[in-house]
Amino acid sequence: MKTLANIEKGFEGSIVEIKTNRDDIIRKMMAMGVFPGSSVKVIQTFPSYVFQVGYTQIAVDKEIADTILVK
Amino acid sequence: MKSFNDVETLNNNESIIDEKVLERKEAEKIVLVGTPNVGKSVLFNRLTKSYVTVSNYPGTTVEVSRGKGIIGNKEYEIIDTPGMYSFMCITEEEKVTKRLLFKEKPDAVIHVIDAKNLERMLPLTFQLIESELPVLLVLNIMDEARRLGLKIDVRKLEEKLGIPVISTTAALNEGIDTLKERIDKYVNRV
Amino acid sequence: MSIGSDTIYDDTIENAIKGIEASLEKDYIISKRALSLLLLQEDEDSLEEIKEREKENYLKIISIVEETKNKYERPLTFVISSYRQKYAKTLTDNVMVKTETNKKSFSETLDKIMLNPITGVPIALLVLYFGLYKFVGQFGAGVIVDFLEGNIFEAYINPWINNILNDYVSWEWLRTLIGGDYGIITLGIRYAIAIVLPIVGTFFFVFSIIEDSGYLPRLAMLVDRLFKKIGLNGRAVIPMVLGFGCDTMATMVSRTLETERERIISTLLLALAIPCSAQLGVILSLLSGEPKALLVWLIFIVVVFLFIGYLAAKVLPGEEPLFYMEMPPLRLPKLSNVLVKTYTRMEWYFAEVLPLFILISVFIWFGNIIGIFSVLVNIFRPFVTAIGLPEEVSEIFLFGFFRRDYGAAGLFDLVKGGILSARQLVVASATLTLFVPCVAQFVMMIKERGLKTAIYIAAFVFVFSFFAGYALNWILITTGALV
Repeated sequence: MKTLANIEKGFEGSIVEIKTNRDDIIRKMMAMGVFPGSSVKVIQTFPSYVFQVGYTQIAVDKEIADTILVK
Repeated sequence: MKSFNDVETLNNNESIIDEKVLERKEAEKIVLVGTPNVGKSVLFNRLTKSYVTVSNYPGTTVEVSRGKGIIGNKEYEIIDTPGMYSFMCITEEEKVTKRLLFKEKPDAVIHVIDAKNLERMLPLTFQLIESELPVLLVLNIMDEARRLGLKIDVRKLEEKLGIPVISTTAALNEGIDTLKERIDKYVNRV
Repeated sequence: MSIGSDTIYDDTIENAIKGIEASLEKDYIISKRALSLLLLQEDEDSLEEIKEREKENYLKIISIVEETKNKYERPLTFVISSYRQKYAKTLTDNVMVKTETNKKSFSETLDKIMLNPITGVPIALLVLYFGLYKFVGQFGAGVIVDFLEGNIFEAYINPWINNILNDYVSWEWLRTLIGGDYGIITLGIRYAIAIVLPIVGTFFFVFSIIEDSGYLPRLAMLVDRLFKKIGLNGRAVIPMVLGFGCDTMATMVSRTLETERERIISTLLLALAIPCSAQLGVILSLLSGEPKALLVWLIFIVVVFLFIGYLAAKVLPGEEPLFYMEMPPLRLPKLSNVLVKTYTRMEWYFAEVLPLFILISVFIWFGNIIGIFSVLVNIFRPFVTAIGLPEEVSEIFLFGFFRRDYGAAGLFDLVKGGILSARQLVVASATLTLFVPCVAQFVMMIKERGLKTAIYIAAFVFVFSFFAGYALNWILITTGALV
């Protein structure tokens, strides 16, 4: 299974899961509208990760990108 | 949270008559809420004429801005709050907003959202409705939504949510008059 | 109550809500349904609230929450949010249609260029160069300040005030309190209006444009990886950029950072290594005659910024901050909004800062009367000579505390007098850049971080700036890079 942190720029697919025990990450992602099932598009992978969900672009660091499983 | 307590002290220590007098003296309040980057501050500027306190900073509104504005033929106190995503607070700013929402007893709460992000921003509208706050939904930045080819059936959304829904482009002064009319009607409903 | 005619949550949650609602006996400002939902999600504030108020039913409510929690694999906050999101999707699909596929717009192309580090970093430097250096530094701090200072205050207001004082006030102490070199009007108000107002005004103008264009989140994303190394995250770029305008204001804005650790680190870095626009303007024009000296100064400040940030991150305990940020689309700023913002910020700034300047001029007036300055200058002297600078610089350091740019401006005179060599000029500028924040910033540090932290930071900055100046001097002499 791939995460946002190890996927190439330009990838389009959907979010499978947000895999983490950290409550703060889950809360933050939900607040931004990042849910399993949302379609996702990877805009950028360096120096930080930028992806698009719906009409929103979100930038996250590697720690958070590592928790977002996609397919 | 402190604000929950306040209601009890009010109920216990003051007679109902006193409370009513108190309420009449205060200007009616309108609170703007929403996430950062939805044009809340611009809308605030459109609704207010004079500033009492303003100090907003990038992305977040550090301090709460209050201004006075005339809607219909009444003067209101209009309050712009720090960005808030959800009632489950993550940041200090959200806590400030949540506290303010309940403490100020607003006569109207205007939830400002970025129209194209309707889907992502509706959950906060639900939470405001669930809290039984007097909420109006403003679909702002309509010009960008239009540019993306998005069309929103405002009437249908209104029907589904059971609250007034108004579309605006605050930066271009679009829909502001309609918004004012709707606020006036909503606050003075029986 | 549900939204409109639809229900959002499943039966398990609805039943839990009903159970909790029934157990809530007291009155709450928030509706019982909303409170129940918050309790199910274990919202700290709400739990505390009912623990205090629902003494008898508290345990009953907690057991409902626990029971419900056990029925799901994921945390309830996740479950509840998912239901809301699902309903939001249903609603949106119901009321929103997409009529045409959008063509790639110019702003999207521009966005790509800004996000890519190869093109994004040069753009960031260009924005800083034109926005800060050219517009704020040269136009605001140069042209406008010169006009207001020279043509208005020094030509009209100051002589006028001093004449009135000389003619009508017989007490010397009152004359020097209001006029003269350090008077409330001739120093305090003049400084606020003729120097700070144009600099801060032009800075706020540029900053509002940058802010409204949506550029800041892009900048935050670019620097996040680097800032992580110094215990901050990309969000801290906002106070840091503001610091180039006014460190006092930036120190205040650092309260928007999420953890106390980040706030302390950024307060320290602002006090130490971020020159404010007033100081930057003077130092840049001072060093621009010697490109090599300018380069040495620049490298030195960047190294100190990163090195001290790195050390602070190592020394201060605490979790590494997470970075997440929504990136709004790039928008063309509207002039009217930019102007309103600039105006209201200046208004606020003035209300906040003018009393401070008046206080400072009173303080200087008082210090002058009791002769404390010559004592302080004597204390500075051995440090100043130790870093290879002539004695005369001591006084400049003292004044640097009261007015960052005043200190730097004092260097001007020494350079004109031919007292300083290129090496001494760099060492003096560098040490002065690091050296103690101005009084206003120090007061803000106390206000925001508390007296103890503020004093620790100021003491560290004081000691470190001389130490670093000494090291720089030594390096320059040994390598013979500058003579």
